[in-house]
Amino acid sequence: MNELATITPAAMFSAAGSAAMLGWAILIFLPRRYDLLFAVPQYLIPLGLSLLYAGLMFVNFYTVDGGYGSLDEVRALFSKDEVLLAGWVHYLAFDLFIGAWIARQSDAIGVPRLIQAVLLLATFMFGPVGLAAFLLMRAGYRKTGARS
Amino acid sequence: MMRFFDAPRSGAPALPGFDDDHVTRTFIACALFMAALFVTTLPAFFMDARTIDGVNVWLKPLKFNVSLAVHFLTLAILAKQLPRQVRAGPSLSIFASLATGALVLEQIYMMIQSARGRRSHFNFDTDIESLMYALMGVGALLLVAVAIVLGIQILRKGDMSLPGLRLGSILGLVLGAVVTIGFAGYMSRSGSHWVGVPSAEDVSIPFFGWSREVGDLRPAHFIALHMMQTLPLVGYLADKFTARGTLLVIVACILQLALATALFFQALGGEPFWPV
Repeated sequence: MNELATITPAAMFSAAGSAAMLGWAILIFLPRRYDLLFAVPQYLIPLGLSLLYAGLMFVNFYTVDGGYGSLDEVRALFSKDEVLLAGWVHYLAFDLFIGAWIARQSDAIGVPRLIQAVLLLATFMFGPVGLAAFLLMRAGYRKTGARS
Repeated sequence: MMRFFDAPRSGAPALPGFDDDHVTRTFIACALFMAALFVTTLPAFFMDARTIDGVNVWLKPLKFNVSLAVHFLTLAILAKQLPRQVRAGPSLSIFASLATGALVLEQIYMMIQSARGRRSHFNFDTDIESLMYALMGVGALLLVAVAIVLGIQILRKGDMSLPGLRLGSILGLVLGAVVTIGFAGYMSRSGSHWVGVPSAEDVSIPFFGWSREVGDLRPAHFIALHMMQTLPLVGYLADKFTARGTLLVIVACILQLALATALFFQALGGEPFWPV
């Protein structure tokens, strides 16, 4: 009944990383006109990663000391590999979801795919950097009416 | 304050074929929330090696997800028999909101206890756990109270054109709730759903977790509770294919009550209903 309980955190890390990479590759390189294809990085992979996160967190959250209240508590929380992995998967899931949002918004306001690629790479590598750059950039498009 | 518990009044229906009044939207939101939590909790079920009483720690919240999804979807469907102003009127609004609050309390607490590897029901180990167990009892009452209120409203003001469905809904909702409360109250007072002491290994029916070695009060509880689904369904089908809708509902009602009672007394005698 607990087949997944025997999979090591390292193996899950690797699988989650591959899934996220696939999503980013689709966002950066593939055409946007197929809704089903775009749904893979926008919904399917973030949902899968989120479910993995949920499993890791539900199973391990109360088995470690620590919490969200101070840096020391957060450090204690991440002292267990499963929770550390969950934190990483959290990044992967949310970054990709934000990346898909940036891609959609960029298409709507007409940002060239090359610039998009840079924004998306920045989001992939350093999540909030890409988001900040895009939000600031989008502010310039305010008057076009293309922004939703 | 009520706005906090129930869904916004306007907008498109939450699911095709339903009205968009706030009570229906509340029922559907509860059902969909439970279905979504079922999927969200499933990974933990497969990843967790911990058990309580021989079954996976996540089995209980998963079972409640399924049960409550079915419960609230049933309420949404059966409430269609009421005129909109009755459905969205004060009594159902209040009891739907109370049931929503109860659902949130029960589900969150059960998930926290599963994550901690501890019992939620029948847990008197600490003061807070005893208190929460008592609150869950109140919550369970509120979850079925809305069914009783809906049954009474269908009795008073429900659509008369489908007599089998109408009677099935009234009997299922009211009797199903009352008998369930009776069985659940007995279970709660006796301090365990078992009659007898099961061995350490898991000798139970998959997913349901009912014991196959000792008496277990949960099958009776299950059969009684699901009168809320079976009797309206019997009525609906009987109306569709025969002219004797009400008679068939009464027969089904007696049979199901008899089955639930028989299972209850069998369990009290310490007998499993499906021995190994």
